[in-house]
Amino acid sequence: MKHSSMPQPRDGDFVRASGHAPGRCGPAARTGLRAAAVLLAIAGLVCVPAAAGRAWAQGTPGDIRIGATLSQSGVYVPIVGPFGKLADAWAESVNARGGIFLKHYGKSLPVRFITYDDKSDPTTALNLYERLASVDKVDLFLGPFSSGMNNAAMQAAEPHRIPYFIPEGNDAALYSSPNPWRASLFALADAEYTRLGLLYGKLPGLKTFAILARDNLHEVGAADGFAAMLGKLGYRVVYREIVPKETKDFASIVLKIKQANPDAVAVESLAPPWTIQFFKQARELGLAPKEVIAAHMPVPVIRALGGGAENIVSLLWSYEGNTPDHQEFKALCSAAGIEPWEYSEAGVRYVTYKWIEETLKRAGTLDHEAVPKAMWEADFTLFGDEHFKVNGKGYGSEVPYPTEIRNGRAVSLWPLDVGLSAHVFKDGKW
Amino acid sequence: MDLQAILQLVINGVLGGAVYSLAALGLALIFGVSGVLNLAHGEFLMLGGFFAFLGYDRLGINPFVLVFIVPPVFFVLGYAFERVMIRPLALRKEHVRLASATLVTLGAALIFEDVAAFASLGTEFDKSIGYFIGSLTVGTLVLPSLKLIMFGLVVLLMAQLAWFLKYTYVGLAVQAVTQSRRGAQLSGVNVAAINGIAFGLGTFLAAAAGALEVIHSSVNPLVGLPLTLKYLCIIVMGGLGSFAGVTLGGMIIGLSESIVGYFTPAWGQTVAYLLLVGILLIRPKGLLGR
Repeated sequence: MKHSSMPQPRDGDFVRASGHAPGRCGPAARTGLRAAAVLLAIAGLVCVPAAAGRAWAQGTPGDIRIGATLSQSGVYVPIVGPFGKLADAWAESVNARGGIFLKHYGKSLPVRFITYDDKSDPTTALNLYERLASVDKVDLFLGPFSSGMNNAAMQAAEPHRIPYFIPEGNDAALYSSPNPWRASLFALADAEYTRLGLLYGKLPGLKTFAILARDNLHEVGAADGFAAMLGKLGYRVVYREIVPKETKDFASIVLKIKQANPDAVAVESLAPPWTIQFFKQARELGLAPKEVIAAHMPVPVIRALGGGAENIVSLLWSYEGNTPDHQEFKALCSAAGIEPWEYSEAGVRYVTYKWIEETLKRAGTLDHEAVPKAMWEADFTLFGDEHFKVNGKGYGSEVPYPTEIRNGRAVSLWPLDVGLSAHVFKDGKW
Repeated sequence: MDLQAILQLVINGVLGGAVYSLAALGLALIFGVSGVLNLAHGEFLMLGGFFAFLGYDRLGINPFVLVFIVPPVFFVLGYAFERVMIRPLALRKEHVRLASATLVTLGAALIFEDVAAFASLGTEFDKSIGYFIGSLTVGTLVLPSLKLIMFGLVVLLMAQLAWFLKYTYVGLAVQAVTQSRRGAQLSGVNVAAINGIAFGLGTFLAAAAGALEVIHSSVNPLVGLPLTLKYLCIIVMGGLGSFAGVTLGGMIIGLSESIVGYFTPAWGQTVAYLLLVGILLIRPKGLLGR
């Protein structure tokens, strides 16, 4: 504890100053004592609630507060719109079972989400996470959608020492420097097409690809990874372009793709309006490749493209199955008013909720030192054989599954043998 | 690059530039008559697009019919906007009036933006009409039908505007005020009323461009101010006060975006500003400015 730097009176000084015998206080000394008493009282007023706060913190909290933001306005609405309801459905399901058991407190605690609209804007997201930490006093952070948003928002984790679970953010930039307060279960963006690559590795009929990426943190990394993977598989990438986020007129780009005449065109864009505009104009200008790939195809994009969405290959963070986890995931989606295939990232959210549950059970407390440790050490299996674990750099190895739009809905192209027999080329039909 | 590709880029550029010209004409008209730089012009375009989207989405009206229904509503809104927000500033000193009016339009732009964003809460941010018509092909050239129809509508609206300005009393009064506010006033023209009509007409054109934009592309609450800046580039580049200059400016921007976007998409959006600087250095009055 730091001591006061004010000079302390010596006995001799005291006598000389007051003119009284040692041991008795004169008026000046009494004034000094009164001031000291006032200071002590003020210090007491400040310290008692703080001490009480610490005592409360060391006692049993009433609930587990998870702070999150979700894009309820802005470009990401069509991709994450119903995830607030999905989070509530999971919380209700956990709370219906009595909550999550934390052995340090000897009881189960209910889960409560505090969620704000980040307007699809990274700066707004960071400000809201600051608020979640300082005003709402949350125990955990659940990140927003996209690498760009997480890259900003996770800056709030370390200063406030609050563990930050990244649900959807896998650009390498997020993991380039050590940060024990954030982690993800998913592989880096450049591995996003791994399972689709396994499919194309065995699927005859394609030789050349065109790859278009929206100029954004995740998309560029994912497109680079896809191009590298196609090269390893022996395919030729005849056109590659990074296109500005603001682009609305794709006519020149479509013309260039047509000139390159690829068998397959892949579009990597997290922003549904951008994807829709590209496909609308590609269709209008007669771009008709054999295969069309759009990694992110939530149901608003499928609806906007109507019949034009048929046979577009996409990626989904879950696949159809009948394990208890599949059933639980379906039930949560149903409670949120969606089907699992409608929002490709719903599977990511489900896995992240399970990870939070696993982490808290492992930590057995909400202590801000124990939870991040457990977050990194969590090791669990879902959907029968899908293994989830954070590696030494803070991310995992999970990648999405290929899917194909058929009759206005996404149909799973996984497991691989199912995908190979079920896949149908678009063959230029819009 | 072969000749076919050049032709295709020119077609795309001209068809795209036509909508730029239409909206920029509205801004030029308001600026020419009242001297006010209407920074809410892009917001009126955005709102026109939103109204057209609602008409299609909720009422099932054909989007091309909406191009004729929505703009008249915005003529009234534009007139009312001038009457309520701009005209009360008319008695101030000229430079104060212009500065205040421009700031009022900036405030209005930000309010419109926020209101539209609030109205879009929880729904698709970008409004787009999923309307598709098969394209025409001539050899290997593709003539996108939607853009062709849009081009036809733009030409029709511009022809009507030109006729209105040349052959009607109000149109001639608009031209008179553009040439000399004081002179028109001395000739018995009701300048205040003409200001309102110019705002109405400019807003009419912005809403028409918005309705076309939402058919072919999309509009969202944030498109307004960047578009206003682009239209400002077009009217300065073409020459202030020149109908033909603004039309030419729009076409040049459309063409340059198409051609530059082919070689480097990242610079396609910036080219308007580079061209503006280049043209003003060579010809400070703009291409057809007097």
